[in-house]
Amino acid sequence: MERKDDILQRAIEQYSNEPIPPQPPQDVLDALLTKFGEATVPAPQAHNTHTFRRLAAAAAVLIFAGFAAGRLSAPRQPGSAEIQKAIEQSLATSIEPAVRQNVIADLSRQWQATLDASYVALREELTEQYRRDLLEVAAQTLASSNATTHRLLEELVASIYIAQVQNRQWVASALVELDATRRQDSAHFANALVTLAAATEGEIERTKKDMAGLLAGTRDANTD
Amino acid sequence: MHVHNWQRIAEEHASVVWQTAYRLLRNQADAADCFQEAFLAAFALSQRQPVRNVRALLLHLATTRAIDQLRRRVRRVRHEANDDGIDIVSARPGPDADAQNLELAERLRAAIAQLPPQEAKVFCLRHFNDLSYREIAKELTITSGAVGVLLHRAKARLRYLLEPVEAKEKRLPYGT
Repeated sequence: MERKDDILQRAIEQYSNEPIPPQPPQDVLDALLTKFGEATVPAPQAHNTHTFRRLAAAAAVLIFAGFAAGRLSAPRQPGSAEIQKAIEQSLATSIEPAVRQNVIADLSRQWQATLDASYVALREELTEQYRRDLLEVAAQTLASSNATTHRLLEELVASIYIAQVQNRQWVASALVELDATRRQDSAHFANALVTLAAATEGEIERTKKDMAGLLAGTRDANTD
Repeated sequence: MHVHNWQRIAEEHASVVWQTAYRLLRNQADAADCFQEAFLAAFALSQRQPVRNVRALLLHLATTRAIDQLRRRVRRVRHEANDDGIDIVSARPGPDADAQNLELAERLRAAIAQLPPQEAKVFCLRHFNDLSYREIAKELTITSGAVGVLLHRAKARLRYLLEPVEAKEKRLPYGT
C-alpha cells in the first residue's frame, strides 16, 4: 500500500496534471496521414490485383471453354489457331499494362514504407556512432597529449642532469688546478726561505769577522 | 491476413500517442519526431506480422522512443557539463543533486531517464498509459510476474532518485 505522502506518488500526480496540448499539431498529423495515404493504398490495390487476376483467369477459362466447345461442336476450321492467338494477344495487351502498373505501384509503396522505417533506425544509429567516435577521438587526443607532455618532461630532466654533471666536472678540475698552483707556490716559497737563510748566515759570519777584526784593531790601539 | 487502415488508426490514436510523447519530452519538436516514428514503426511492423492490439503497440513504441530521446538528452546535458573543464571527474554535484533543484515532475523525468530501459518502459506503460499487466506483458513479450518485478524495482529506484539528498545521506545507497 502506498503512503499518501509518498514522493513518487506526488511526482506522478504532478506529472499527470501538467497541462499539455491534447492533440498533435495539425501539420504533423497531416504529414503522417499523407504518408499513410501513400502507403496504405496497398490494401485496395492488392484487392484490385486479385480482382484483375480473377478476371484474367475467368476470361481465360471462358475463352478456352468457348474454344473447346467450338472445336468439339464444329468441324475444325483452318483459322481457329490464328483466332485463338489473336484473342490471347489481345487479352495480354489489355491486361498486362494494368497488372504491370499495379505491381510497380505495389513494390514502390513497400519500398517507401521500408525506407521510412529504416531511415529512423539509421538516423539513430548514425547519431550514436557519431557520439562514440567523438568520445574516442577525445580520449585518444588526451592520451597522446599526456604522452607528449611526459616525453618533454623526461627530456627536460635529462638535460638538467647533464648540465649538473658538467658543472661538477668544471668545479672539480678548477679545484685540482688550484691545488697544483698552491703546491707549486709552497715549493717556491720554501726554496726562497732556504736561500734567504743561507744568505743571512753568510752575512752573520761576515759581520762576526768584521766585529772581531774591529775589536782586535781597537785592542791594539789601546795597548799602543 | 488482416489489413489495417492506418489513416483511420492514426486519427483514432493520434491524441493518446501525442500525449504520451509530449508528457515525457515536454518539447514540441522532439514529441513530433517521436509521434511520427512510433506510427511509422508500427506500420512497418504490421507489414511483417499481425498486430492484435494496435493501441498497446503504439503506446509501447511511443514510450520506448520517448525514453530513448530522454536518455540521450540527459547524456548530452552531462556530457556538456563535463566539457566545461579539463578534469574528466567534475567537481560539480552529481545528477541526483541536480535533480533536486528541478520541479517534482521534471525530476521524475530525469529519474526515469536513469532507469534501466525495460523498467522505465514498464513503469510508464503502467502508470502513465494505464495498460494492464497482461497488456504490458504481451507487448514486451515477458510474463505478468516479470512485469510485477520490474515495476517494483522501478518504483524503488525512482523513490531513491526522487528523495532529497539529506534523506539519502542518512541511509545506505539503493542496491547495497
